[in-house]
Amino acid sequence: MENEQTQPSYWNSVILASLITAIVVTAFSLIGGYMTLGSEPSGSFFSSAQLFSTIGCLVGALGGLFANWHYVKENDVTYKIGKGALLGLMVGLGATIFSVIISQIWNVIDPGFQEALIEWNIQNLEAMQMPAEAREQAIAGFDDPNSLQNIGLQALFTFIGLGIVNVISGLIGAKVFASEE
Amino acid sequence: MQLQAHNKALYLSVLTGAGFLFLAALGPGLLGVRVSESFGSWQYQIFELLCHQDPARSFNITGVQMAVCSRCISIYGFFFFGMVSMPVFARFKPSLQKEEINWLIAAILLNLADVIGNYFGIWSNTHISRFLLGGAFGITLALILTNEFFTLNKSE
Repeated sequence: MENEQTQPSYWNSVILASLITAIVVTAFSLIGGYMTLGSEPSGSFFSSAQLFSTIGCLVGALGGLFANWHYVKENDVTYKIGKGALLGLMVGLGATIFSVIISQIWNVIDPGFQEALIEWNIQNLEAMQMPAEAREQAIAGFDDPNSLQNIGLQALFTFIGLGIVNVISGLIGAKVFASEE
Repeated sequence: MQLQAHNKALYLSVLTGAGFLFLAALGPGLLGVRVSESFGSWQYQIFELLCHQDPARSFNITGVQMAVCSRCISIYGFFFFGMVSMPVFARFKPSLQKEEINWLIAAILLNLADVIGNYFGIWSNTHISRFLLGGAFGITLALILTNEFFTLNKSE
């Protein structure tokens, strides 16, 4: 096994893991969105996408684990867990960027999707048992999801979530696959 | 025997991240936000791509749904608890090696079995069963990392 001074680049593994993570989480999100649109607004805060309610959880956290596994498998190296955490963080960042790009491409493919989701959510809010004033306040809070500010904010929140969980899965990946023990 | 800390900066970073994730996962209800104001809260947005956020499978705080389901809140909560308790784990079990990986695999398999059994109608899982199984997963994640951050120095 190679030592840490002569280790090869990890970018191939990071980019591959980022891309796979972004495709999977965005696909789950889009399919969940279409399932939402196919259901009647029930007055519940979130739509219940039956299939994904059981298998979709934490799939986005596997990127850090996968990147470490792939890096070790391809290059036969060992390293400390700090590097595993770094790979996980990179995957979180890469997956965020790729998921924003895929979402924007999807907006071109189906321009009415975001608008239909907002419309569904407004109908859903109207079905809720809440004071009219509160309902109006919530509806007024719907901004244009395609504005630069909202895309940036969504990307930031996505990075916080994907970043932290992939750092943790990167630590585990390095411990399991790249440990010298 | 003296407890020795390693990778302190990394430990503190992961501890902070895990703590933040756990608090965020508790949802806007923790900050006293009312149901009508909670729509689109940053807590929900952070976990949008990480959890299904199904209301039927989530706990509430003051009537406001948490940002993640009952299994996920337990994973984040027990992982954070495990991170905080690492110095204690290291004292009680100084050589944490392969058996922790087996515990992790067992926890993953238990959760998978629970999900599959529920999906095919063999049994119905509950908030509590999901919480307990998620907790087993979260705590083993922390256990597996313990010796990377804390070990007992036997020479002293």
